[in-house]
Amino acid sequence: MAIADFARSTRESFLVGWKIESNWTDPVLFATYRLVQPLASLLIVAFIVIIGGSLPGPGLQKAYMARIIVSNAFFVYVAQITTNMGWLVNTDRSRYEVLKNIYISPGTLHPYFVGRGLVSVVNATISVIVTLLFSVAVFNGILNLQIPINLLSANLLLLIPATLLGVAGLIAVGYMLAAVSIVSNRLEFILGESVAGVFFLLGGVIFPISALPSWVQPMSAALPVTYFLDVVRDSFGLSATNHLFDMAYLALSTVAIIIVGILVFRRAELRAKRLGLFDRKSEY
Amino acid sequence: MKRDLSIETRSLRRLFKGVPGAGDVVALDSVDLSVEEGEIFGLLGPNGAGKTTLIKILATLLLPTSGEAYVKGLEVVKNAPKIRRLINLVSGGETPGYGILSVKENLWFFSQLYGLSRDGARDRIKQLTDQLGLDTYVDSRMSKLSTGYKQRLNLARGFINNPAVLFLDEPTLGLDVLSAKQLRTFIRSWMADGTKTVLLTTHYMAEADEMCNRVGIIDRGKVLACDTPQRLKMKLASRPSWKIEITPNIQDLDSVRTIQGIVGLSETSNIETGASTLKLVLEDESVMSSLLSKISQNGSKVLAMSKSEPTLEDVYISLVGRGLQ
Repeated sequence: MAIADFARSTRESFLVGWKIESNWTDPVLFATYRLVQPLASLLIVAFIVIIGGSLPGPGLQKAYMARIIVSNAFFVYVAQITTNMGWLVNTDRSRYEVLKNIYISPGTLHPYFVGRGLVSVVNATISVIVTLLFSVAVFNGILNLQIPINLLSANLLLLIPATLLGVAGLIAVGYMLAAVSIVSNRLEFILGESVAGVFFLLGGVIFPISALPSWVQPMSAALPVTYFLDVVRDSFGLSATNHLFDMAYLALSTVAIIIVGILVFRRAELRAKRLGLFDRKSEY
Repeated sequence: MKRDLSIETRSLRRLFKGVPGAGDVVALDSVDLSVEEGEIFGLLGPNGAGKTTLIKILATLLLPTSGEAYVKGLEVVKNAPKIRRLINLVSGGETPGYGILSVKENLWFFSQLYGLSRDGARDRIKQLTDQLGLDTYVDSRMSKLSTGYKQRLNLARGFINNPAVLFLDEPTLGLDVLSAKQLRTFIRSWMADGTKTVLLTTHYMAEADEMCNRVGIIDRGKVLACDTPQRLKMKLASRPSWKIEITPNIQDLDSVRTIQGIVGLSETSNIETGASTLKLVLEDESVMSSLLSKISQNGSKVLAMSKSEPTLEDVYISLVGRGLQ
């Protein structure tokens, strides 16, 4: 498939995905939902902040609070992309019954998966911005906790490439999950959320990797999400890691995930064609 | 492969895993089929006969277990990406798109997946929605459409890329008589240039008789007959076809089927009157006396009986041994 055709199919898949995810209600209710969703996540952070308040030393407390606010805000990319893309095949195959029709179109499912993944990226970006703005407004403004987050001084030269690489890797993970759900039986219900859960626990969102059991630490160190969040925190001046190493790891792991994702898709496609799964209806 | 063949299968076989202990299910059993360019080819068969399996293999959705299948000279396993540019598929009774999107938005999406230019897509959508009677619903959400209009949208989606080969799997399912007629007219006009090919599965014998250049009758994965509807009916001319209306209906229809000389039998019951109509294809007229005495033994009365010219349904009954109902 030519690059221009791929880009066009991806764009149209994105637009369809956006309409599906945004047109389910009237614009006011949708906008409210888009605001409430990250604010609900902020509430969770607030509870963690209260727990974090029990840590010794006021400086450590504030640094920890800043860490979990930023990590939690950017983890939305992981949660949205993996959950939505893990669930995508189920709805398109069983509910809308269009999966087979998309599959037999010239571009098959590749641009479609990518386009739908990009919808999650846009939704997550809105959530990230809202969460960060409200966090600063509530914790530093209203509560005057003086948490060391300065949004204006974020290192964009670090933040933007890290986010782009992180998102690309996550779409590749989502692509892989979508491929797996073509051939899985009922796994789609837990696939995306399970992966997001593992990334949440091991990706250094709440706990620093050093706080994890020693046998878990190598797994944590292998996850691209760990490096993505590391660099994001670095860009806000919240930690000092080796940027170059983190970015290189992120770039290489993204390429590796894309390659593995394509291989997984091919295996899943072959199995689905052997068993006739592209139009399988869930009977539950 | 011949140059003018749009579809060809050679010893095509497809097995599915059955329930544990029951062995494999044979969906297609050494199917040899040739469909020429410009033909509307009908596949007739009961549920589970293998019609949809064949279409799924040709539409690159399913792999054959063995044998070969070609679409426009391209082997379906090795050349799936090339074939996808030439085909489309419409399955009756399925949701045609995203309920939250309008008719136009759904069609636009698929037009872009098939690489239509923006102007070309707009013209094509306008043309299809006009011709299929969807013009007043172009901005309506798909979820708001009636079953019949959803099926029209499904058909419009199938025609969006003006495919060289179109697979229609029960396309008039859920359509009223008028809509089904409109669709048949549309398909004929679409095929007027002689370069398009349609492989159609249907339960409606009259539809197949009216539309198809040739018909294949398939049962339990085997193609039992393949010819023009006219020739198939002519082959049956020596075998009398009878329609007998009886009341009450016969509970044990198999006991009638076992009468020597009955080639095929189908029954249509009228719930309101309690009467039923038997359609029979006989070896010869001598079977009638045994048949009538069997009906009498079952306590049924004959209300009316008539001999008829063989129809495609009679051909089907004689080959499969039973009707579609």
